[in-house]
Amino acid sequence: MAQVFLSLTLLAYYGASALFIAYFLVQRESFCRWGGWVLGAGLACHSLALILATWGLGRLPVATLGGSLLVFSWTLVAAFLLLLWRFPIRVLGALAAPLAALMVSGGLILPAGRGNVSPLLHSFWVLVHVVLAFMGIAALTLAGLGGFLYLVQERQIKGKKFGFFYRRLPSLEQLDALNYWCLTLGFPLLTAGIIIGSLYAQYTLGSFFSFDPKEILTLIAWLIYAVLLHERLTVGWRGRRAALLALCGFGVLVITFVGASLWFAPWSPCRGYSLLFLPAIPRSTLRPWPTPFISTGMRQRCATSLGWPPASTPWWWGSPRFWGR
Amino acid sequence: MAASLDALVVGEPQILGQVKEAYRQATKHHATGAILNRLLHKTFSVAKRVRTETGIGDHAVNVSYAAVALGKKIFGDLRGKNVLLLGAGEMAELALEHLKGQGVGQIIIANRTLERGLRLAQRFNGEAVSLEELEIQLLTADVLLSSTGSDAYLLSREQMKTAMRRRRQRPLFMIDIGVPRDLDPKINDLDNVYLYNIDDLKEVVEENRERRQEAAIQAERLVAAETLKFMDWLKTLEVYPTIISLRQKAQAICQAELKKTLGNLGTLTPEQEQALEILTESITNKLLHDPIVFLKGNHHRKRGQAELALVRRLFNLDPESTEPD
Repeated sequence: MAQVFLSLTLLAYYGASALFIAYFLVQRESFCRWGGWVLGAGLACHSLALILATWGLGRLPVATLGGSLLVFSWTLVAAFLLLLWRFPIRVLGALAAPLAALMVSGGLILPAGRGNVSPLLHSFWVLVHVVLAFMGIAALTLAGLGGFLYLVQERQIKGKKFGFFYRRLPSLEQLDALNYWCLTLGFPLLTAGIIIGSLYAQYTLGSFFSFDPKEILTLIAWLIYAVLLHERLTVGWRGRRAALLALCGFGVLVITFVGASLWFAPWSPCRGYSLLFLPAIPRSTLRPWPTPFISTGMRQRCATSLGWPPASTPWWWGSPRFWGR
Repeated sequence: MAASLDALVVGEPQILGQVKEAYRQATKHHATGAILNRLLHKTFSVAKRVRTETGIGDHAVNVSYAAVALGKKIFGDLRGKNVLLLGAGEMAELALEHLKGQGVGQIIIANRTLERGLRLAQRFNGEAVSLEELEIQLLTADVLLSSTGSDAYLLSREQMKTAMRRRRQRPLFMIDIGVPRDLDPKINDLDNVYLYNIDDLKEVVEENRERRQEAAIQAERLVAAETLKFMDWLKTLEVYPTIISLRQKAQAICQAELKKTLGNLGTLTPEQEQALEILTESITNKLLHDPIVFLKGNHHRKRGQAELALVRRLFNLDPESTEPD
């Protein structure tokens, strides 16, 4: 059943891509409007498919690259539709919609693999971690795409050559504002996602950070965005530099998302996991890494002083099958 | 003409407005007939199609327009943007007038002689300062227009670099219409500064002119096709006098014969009289039906005149011309 909805989603996303590209080429308002509606219909199908899959698995389908692509493309489309409603940068659809369509295709092609999945993944906190991180990354992806458009448009204006793109792309100020808003929304979400992920890792596996290539890459991307946001707010970095950094951060995120699952797979402890701070294999079977930040005793003292772990588990912690065990 | 293909500046939008105004005046005084009405409505729709389909008006062909169009691509909207004018030349005045039409915010005029600056400031409802304050005024301006007659650069790249840092990198659009140049061309290498000098703008305008010429050729084709359609319609109008005189002649014969017959028949009831009238009328109508359909439908662009003449001769509709025979 989920497959049927996913096929419909794919169809809608490709249709919306075609409409948005047509809008980019001929600049007729109606194409964009229809593109928005088709994309919205696709999103509805996508939501249904994800809900069905989540119900069937008892957790979000993020254990494989394909699954996480499906979840991430959902957040990307949702974020883009929100943006379309709020910002007049419609040309972005010609990049975002095809990207979402390609990701859904990837999600359908890549093996879904229901094999051994760590029970740790069933927790409610994993869901929160994944949803927050993915929403943040979706916003940052849009910032990256907007940065690309900015660089193209800036090149045209600086070079005093007014060609095909000059007429079709929005103004620099609008593109820069897009960068700013996506950054200020995406960065806190990503940060919250990372914090929750590492806290959960600490709670279940005993370490905040396990120096996995994927974790390191995520941290690098986070640092790039942190620098960008800081410089934006204090020194007033904007325009070209902001666009370039946003594009860099996006590149690192792509490498983390796809590359880490493919290249580092054979020796990575978190094989098949995307952007999770959770190794698939329980910590005890891994090579021992020193815990670099906090000693065990200090950790325990901190935890108890914060009332952690809770003496009695609250209702949302673990008991329903849906969230975990 | 309404599409402004013959105007001095091809594609100027004002022409259509003028034609429309003239038509409005004419209709107000009931000076237009059916043909003129149709012609003008067609004209307006064709002029609109020319604008949307060929994009003839998309490219600014005047230095001031080009500057405003560029400003819109940088800022999105010029409303509320502060303008700083260096020098008070005539060209600058013209450009300032255009900018003012876009609803810019504060206008500040920096001139070597404060008196002339003050006069100009009064005219544009702005503020006059001396050139020495340039570096301070740079901090608040968004658009800088420069047209002094100075031999040396007023602003160097280094000066601009520090100014941009103090501006927290807010974008600045600089237009240098002075000859020789007032602003160091190297300023354009800095981020978030967009420097255009008069030659750049002229080049843009020249390019746009060429583009308009190309669009004009397309437009000519469109107009030619529509003209042909209209002329066809006009030709069909030619047959109406013939049809009308045909009907009039038939009706005259009817009336005359009816009168004769009624005189011979003696007294009749009104019903019988009416029946006779209907009889004659329907006979003539049925007889005339085919010739009329022939006239309306088979009207051919080339043979039309000949056919029309034939019908007129056949029914002897032009007695004075046939009498000499």
